[in-house]
Amino acid sequence: MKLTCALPKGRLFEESVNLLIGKGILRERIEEGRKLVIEKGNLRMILAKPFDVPVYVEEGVADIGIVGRDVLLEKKPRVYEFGDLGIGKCTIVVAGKEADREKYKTSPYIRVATKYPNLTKSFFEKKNVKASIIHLNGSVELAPILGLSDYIVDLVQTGRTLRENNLAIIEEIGESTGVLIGNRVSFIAKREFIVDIIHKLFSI
Amino acid sequence: MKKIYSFKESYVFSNILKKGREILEKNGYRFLRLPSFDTDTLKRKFISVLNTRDDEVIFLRSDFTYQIIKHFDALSDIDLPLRIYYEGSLFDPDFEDFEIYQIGFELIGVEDIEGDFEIIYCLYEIFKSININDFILVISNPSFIEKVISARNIDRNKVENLLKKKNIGRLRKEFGNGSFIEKLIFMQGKREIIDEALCEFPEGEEELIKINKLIDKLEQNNISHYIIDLSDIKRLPYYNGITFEIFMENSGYAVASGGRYDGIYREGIPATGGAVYVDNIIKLMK
Repeated sequence: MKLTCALPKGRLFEESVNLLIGKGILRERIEEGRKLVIEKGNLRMILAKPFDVPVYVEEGVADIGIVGRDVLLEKKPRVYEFGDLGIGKCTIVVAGKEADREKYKTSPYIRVATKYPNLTKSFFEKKNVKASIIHLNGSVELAPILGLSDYIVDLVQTGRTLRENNLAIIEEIGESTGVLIGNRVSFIAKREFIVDIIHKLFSI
Repeated sequence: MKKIYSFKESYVFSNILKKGREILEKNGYRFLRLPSFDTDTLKRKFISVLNTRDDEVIFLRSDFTYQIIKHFDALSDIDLPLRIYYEGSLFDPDFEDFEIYQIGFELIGVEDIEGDFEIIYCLYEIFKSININDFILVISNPSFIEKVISARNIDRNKVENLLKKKNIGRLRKEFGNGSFIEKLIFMQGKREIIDEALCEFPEGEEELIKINKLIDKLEQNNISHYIIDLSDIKRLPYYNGITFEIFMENSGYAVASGGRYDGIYREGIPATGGAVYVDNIIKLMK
């Protein structure tokens, strides 16, 4: 029996591989390259875009996957969330120009650019702030610089990209780390395999 | 918005309904036509529509059970057991395409195992009739977990979401390694899991015995591809006995589900029901 694991390309990939090797789940290192399906022993790994990882797991193409909490908050997939893996720690923030910090507290209406439209909508709804959401797929920092939006909601690791673009953190929304997720049917059909991985990853 | 099915998909769709109706009618279930609109709902989320004729807000139905309760309330004299089936779309903003089509059925007035078995067997016959034989039947009894939690004086709200998501990482942080909650999360298997649960959680004996009796009955009727999942908590607030879901391999959502909800129609009257999610089957048949 093979177990299929969806891994996110990019930011979380290296740390995910290190963790799987460190916990004895993966025997050899795998590289992020053009090959998108890699088989190692009884593990088949799918290298996918971070936002696609929960889709593969929810639809049963992958049995388990590693994905950032930010993606789960945005997509709310019907998957098991076995726990935070403590890798790829980032913060989801509202950022903008330093000069607009005060306006953020007093404006009844703001324009926000983001890769996370659902998360952003729900955050501002809870604050009772009317926000017009502009959905972008990348380089979100450009939006306030070019006047497309007043603020952005984005994931920040060191804050360097924000600083280089003269933007500052206005408010923190929450923390995001890598999460191990699992398909509901796989948890039943491939239970022994998945439970073994869970025990290895979350042993205290 | 929901895409329009192709002729091929529509044929499969109508065939599932045809077979479902045939099997349910053969087993004594009578069709009940239910309205698409409601003025009230049991669910927290719903899609509302402004009725411009009377200037009032009405809801697209999000649950059939509530409509059947109203139907039942209107009847003063009922011969039990009552077998009803119905079909149509349910509407909910959380559904992927806002609606999901189901053929559902209710058995009112038959207690415990007899009723649970009848509902599961009807579903089994429906799936066999549409040539789906490799499904997994997951049997649970959320009342078991309720008893285990209440016997330990733990805040149910605190553990509910962690149990639902099987968040073992957080549970280990909160309760330590090998806690009773962790044992609950991993309680899936065949009949041996009941013996294990009886040793660990004797307070749930009554509920475990019900599952055991149902398994006896299923095995006597050659239904062996079941899994018992004792970690399942209530999917609907009114469930109070055995519940079940049917999955097809390589999917993440149920193609059928149901459960017992005694007392929902009238105090002291047992009831159980099930439903086939036709759209989910079409999705998986591709």
